[in-house]
Amino acid sequence: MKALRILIVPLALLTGACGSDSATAPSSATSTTSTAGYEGFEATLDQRGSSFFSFNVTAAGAAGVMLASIVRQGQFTPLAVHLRVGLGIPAGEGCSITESVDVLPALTPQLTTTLPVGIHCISVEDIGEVTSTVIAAIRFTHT
Amino acid sequence: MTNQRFLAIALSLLATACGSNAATAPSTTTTTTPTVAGASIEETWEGSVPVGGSKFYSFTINENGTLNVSLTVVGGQFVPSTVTLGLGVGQPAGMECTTTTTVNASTQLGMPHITGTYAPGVYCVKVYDVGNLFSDASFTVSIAHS
Repeated sequence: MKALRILIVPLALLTGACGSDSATAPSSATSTTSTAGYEGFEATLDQRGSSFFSFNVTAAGAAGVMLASIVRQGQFTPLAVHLRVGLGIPAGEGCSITESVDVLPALTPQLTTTLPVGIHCISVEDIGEVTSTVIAAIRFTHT
Repeated sequence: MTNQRFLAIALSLLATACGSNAATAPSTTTTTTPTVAGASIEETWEGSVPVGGSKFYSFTINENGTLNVSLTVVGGQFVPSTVTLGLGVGQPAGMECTTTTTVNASTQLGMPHITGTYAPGVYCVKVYDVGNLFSDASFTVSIAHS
């Protein structure tokens, strides 16, 4: 009887040690959920000037860019002038644009696209309507 | 009879605990060494950095490989060609280049000033004044990558 008890204790321990193996499911394809990130920046533009902002897309997905407002530097009155807003890849000392639109400020996305994983940039540029230094507010979403 | 029961229970526990192991294939470990491509693409960046300021230049690495960055020329009025500037490598973020490696570089020092193995992606090189400039400095940086 004593010998059997001695045998049972290690067997019970073995049961605990090995039990988890049977519950391990084989790994399979995992689903990922892309959550849109919200960012913004303000670009100070001189006449014919441009500026850009880099951001990292961590999962391929939709992106939307909005030129939210333009004001003359030091003032609060909104300006209605066209600026060129573009999306691209940082290259050299700027942003190498792959698509762009010339837009007035608005509160809806004016440039939408799908972006792959990686570092991208948004460019904002005066196309000739700016007469003195302005501050352009850009808002954008991405995954 | 009691002893037989104990034995039966113990064997039953063992079968339950380790039954799944019989179906488990032996694991194999594969070690792969990533290929490191040579720095076959060379870009030359000519720019200028203001007193206390910085500039950066972005480029794309296409495959895992070597990156060599060298400050080859420094000039400008009142700027000795041997002046030390800050040189860094990182990735563009926001309106800046967020550096992960920085050195104090001079054209007198051995080149490349920065070397390493980098994965594919967009990177940037940053040149900045470390406090030595009294006027704007012009510079040339060589960036060799895969």
